[in-house]
Amino acid sequence: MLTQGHYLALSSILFLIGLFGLLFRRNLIVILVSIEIMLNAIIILFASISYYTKDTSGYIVVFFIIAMAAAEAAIGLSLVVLIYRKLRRIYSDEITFFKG
Amino acid sequence: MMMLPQLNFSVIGVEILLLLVASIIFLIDKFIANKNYAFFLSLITVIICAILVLFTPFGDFTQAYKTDFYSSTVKLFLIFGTLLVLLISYNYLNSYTFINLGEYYALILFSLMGAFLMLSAMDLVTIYLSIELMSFPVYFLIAINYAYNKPSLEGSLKYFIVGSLSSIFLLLSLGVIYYFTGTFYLKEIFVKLSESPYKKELLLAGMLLLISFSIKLSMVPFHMWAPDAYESAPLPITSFIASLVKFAAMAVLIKIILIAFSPLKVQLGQLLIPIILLSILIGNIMAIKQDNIIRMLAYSSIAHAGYAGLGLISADFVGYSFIIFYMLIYLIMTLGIFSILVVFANSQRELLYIPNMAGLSKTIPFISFLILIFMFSLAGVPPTAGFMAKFYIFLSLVKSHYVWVAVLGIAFSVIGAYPYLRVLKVIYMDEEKLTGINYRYDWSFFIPVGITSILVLLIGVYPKPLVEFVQRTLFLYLSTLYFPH
Repeated sequence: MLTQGHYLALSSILFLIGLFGLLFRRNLIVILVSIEIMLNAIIILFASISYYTKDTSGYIVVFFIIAMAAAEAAIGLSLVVLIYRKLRRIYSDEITFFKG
Repeated sequence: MMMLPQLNFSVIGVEILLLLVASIIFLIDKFIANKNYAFFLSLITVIICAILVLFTPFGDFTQAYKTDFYSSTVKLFLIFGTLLVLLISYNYLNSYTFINLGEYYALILFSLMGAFLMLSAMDLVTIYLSIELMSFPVYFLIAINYAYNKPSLEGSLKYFIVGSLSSIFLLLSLGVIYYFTGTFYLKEIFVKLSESPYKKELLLAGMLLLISFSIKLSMVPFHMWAPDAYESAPLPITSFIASLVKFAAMAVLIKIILIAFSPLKVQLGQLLIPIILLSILIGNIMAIKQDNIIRMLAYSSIAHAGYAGLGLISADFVGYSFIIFYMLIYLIMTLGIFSILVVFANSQRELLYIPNMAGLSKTIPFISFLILIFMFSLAGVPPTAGFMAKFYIFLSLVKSHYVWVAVLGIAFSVIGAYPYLRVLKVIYMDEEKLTGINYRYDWSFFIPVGITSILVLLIGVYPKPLVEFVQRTLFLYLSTLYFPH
């Protein structure tokens, strides 16, 4: 039997995976994927709350978040492509033009 | 059958106008050869917006949006700032012609529209969506500079990653609030919060909210993006991020704390004490060793966000109104100093490095004197507006019995005087290094510089009307909020 606790646990595990990916991976594409994983974790959180309280506003927020995640992916990918084409770099620790 | 609510479109006229004009600029930009049309179109639009804001009736558009006294006042301040930013941009883009003008102005209008929606939003989901609408164009506006400075993509990417992290924290806080109260509307959250037994859990939600907003305001543990993003952006956009975006974010944070989290505002203020003291200290110390004046101003903007945040600690509406006053003064000072720096960037870009400014007072005495006024104001020296803003903030802190915080803040602001006075020392006392600049000054330089310098001196001498106006705004807003007629 699945309870709300299971969903919350899944959501927090996914969120932590995303957070650690953002902090410790060097590839820019993986960093973008980590951001998407975190957003998906939050989607699961909202959907589960909505399902167990029979309140629809959580579902509506889920749709908004999906749209915003798409917009964010578009911006992030376009920036990464520009960086690859102009600077020829794809790892975050190679991009060190500004210091201090 | 459910009754549909009456849609009151006259209330959101300003946002609709901005949306239409920005979309039209994007549509027709390809077909018009003379690119200056975008500047005049957006200038006229912003002026019409000012008139519309003045005559818009107060009211609701569904439950999520409400124009009221507070939001209209802050919108007027933002429009004033945007007019100055547009004039500065016109001056800057005359020399940097590879930047695509149409997109540039349209993105500014989109960002302004996001800020407006955010100021009038009455529920947290609308605030989330419009905070994203405010920040997405800014990522592009930073990256647009890569035609001149390829590493500027790095600053844009850093701001993008940190900004998306901030929106994720905002969403987490929304999730916690939704779990424990079951609603997103600010007023209902207030009602549920005051009778809820889950005060500690909702304090966690408030903490996540503060994390998200302190990323947007570049407070200290989350400040690392600010200098890079500021240095890589075109100069007018730097002033846009530093003044307008921060002003809007701060105004919305005040609104959320004032309406939704008012039972917890004292605890939230206490949570903010280390963050704010650290951001004043580190912002001021790191500003000392910067040679690039834009990086110096970036660190000083971190410190200034800290000073403004001191009003949040005091946790009463007088302190909050002084935050609005402080951010307004900071907007005026920043736009003033950047409109002078644009002249340097247009004539000789090396002049943006502080050691190269040596002896400028002999070749361009008038501009040097203007820099002196703005630097004194940023440092907080008495006959200028910056002193008055700091004075009122510290006054509100002392009145609400946080004397030790006020003493520490004043001690840190003494450190903060050094970087500004160093610029003045280099300009006025060092030997001449670069030969003087020959530059043709036109109206797009004189209007912003004239307005800002006169305002800085005037408010510094006679601040009372503006302070009382801001205070009355918040007082009226609160009284209509809690006791609707």
